[in-house]
Amino acid sequence: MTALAAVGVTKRYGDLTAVDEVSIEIRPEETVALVGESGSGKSTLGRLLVGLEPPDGGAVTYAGAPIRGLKGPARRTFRRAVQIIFQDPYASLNPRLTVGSAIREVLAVHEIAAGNAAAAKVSALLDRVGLDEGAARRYPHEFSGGQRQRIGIARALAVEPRILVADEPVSALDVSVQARILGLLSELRRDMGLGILFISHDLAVVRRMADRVAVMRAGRVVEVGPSKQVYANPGDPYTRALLAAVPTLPKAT
Amino acid sequence: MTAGPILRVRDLRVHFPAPGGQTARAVDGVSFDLSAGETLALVGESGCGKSMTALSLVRLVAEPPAVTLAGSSIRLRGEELVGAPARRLREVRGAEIGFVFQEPMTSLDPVHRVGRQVEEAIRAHETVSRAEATGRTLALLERVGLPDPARAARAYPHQLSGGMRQRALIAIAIACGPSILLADEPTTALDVTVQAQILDLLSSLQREENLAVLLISHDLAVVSSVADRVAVMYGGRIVEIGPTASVLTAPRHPYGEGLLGAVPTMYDDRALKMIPGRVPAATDWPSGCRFHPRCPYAWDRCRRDEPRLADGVRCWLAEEPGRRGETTGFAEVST
Repeated sequence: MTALAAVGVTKRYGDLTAVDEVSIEIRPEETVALVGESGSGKSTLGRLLVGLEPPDGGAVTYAGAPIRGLKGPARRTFRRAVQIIFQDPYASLNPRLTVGSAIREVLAVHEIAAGNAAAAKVSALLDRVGLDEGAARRYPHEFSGGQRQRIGIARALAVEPRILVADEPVSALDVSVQARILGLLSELRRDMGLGILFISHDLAVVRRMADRVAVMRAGRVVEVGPSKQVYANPGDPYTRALLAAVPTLPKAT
Repeated sequence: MTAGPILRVRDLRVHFPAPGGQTARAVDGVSFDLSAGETLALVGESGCGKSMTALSLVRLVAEPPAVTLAGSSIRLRGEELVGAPARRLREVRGAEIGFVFQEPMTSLDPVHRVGRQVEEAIRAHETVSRAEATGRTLALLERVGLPDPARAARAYPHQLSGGMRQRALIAIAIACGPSILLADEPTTALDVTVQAQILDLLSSLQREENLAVLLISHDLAVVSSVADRVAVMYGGRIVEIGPTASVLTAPRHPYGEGLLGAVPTMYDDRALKMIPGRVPAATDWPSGCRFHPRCPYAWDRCRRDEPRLADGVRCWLAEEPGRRGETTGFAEVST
């Protein structure tokens, strides 16, 4: 089972317990949403799950093995299997590298492809995320926010991951662009069997995207369950308060 | 109270010089009225001109480089603000028109205590003693719902939460009893539960003071919960304006239809729609209807002639409604 899991993980920053004994699992082909307000620990949990930071307690496991003890080929397998994208992909793109070079760099580091094979792979990846081939020769600043998010996704896909952690991937985008990125993520899940951890504060977007939802508050998961159930029949008072606070559009006539 | 609108904006055009001798027509012929006690929301994607319209009303866009074109008119209770002296505009800002922006951290001065900043807002417009300013500051901070006004007054902005900072900023905005409040994405940076509280606060202040509110927001759900009227902007122009209930449930302009179709809701599972392409640069508005390259209903008339805003909508479909049935509209995104 190639699931990514947090098993009772805790992360502290000084006196603050950002993540407090949280367990959660993401399997390929499913979208799990992590919702909560700022400071709830959802982004920290995302960073722990991809190994950007080590937990202070508990363990992150991939395919059943704790990632902390992974060495050699097993570690490289994990590094490829789990990728992360952020709200602002611009911050994670080197402004001096063309999009093509940035993706080729990833392919080289992971020894996936070089030379002509790498060029072909770059074209295929850009095509996969809906960018034309010419994008490879351009620099990050030449793209709009939505296109940059596509670039971030293309770079993440370069290593053929099984699980994608998406931390507020559409929060900075205009709604018409947001809809297209949501469509792309759904497609990747369907066509490539990608598992997605969708971190978001937007409960309407999450309702649309997720099979399961985990609600975080003050570092803890207060409720987790199938989306339909959580939205229709929230069990925790905090989930009820969150859902009640969401402004809604009037129904179209 | 006086009848009629407090603010009348007519054919407002604010342009900027752009590289290569081009002109960015950021605000390009905007007209609307704003009356006491009502909330008018400006909606649209980034680059449509909504924030620039709001900032231009109180000349918060530096001129030069910006130019407010001749023929533009902004009348505040009949007084023309276009061409008014800078000194008069300073009086208007704060005393007549208060504003609340998205990120209170950047609007508040990080090195001064919150109380001092509210006091300064009062003393900028009124001659009052220090003691009186302090007393009024505490009353204002209490009014905006800060639980411990004295403590909030002593705090530096970074010591307050995002919601508390936004309350402090609202206290500054209403310090001199303005009749108009410009609120540019006032809750966008806030969590939903805090957002709900701030929207409640703005509504109750509006009711008590009979404030006219111009709300700029990209969030159609927020707009639907607080606005009386909505103006949808595209290409530096208003493309549809009318009562919230009709604009957000039965939009007549395809752009509004596309925006609404792209937003997931909390109550249905219909497929999301996508508006193809993106907002062009303000130097490159297309000929004819500015939305036509992205519009699924466009025909040759739309490419050639620009429709005028008539009966609240700027679209040739208003004259030829049968055309709407000729295509399937915006493409669906499967999620």
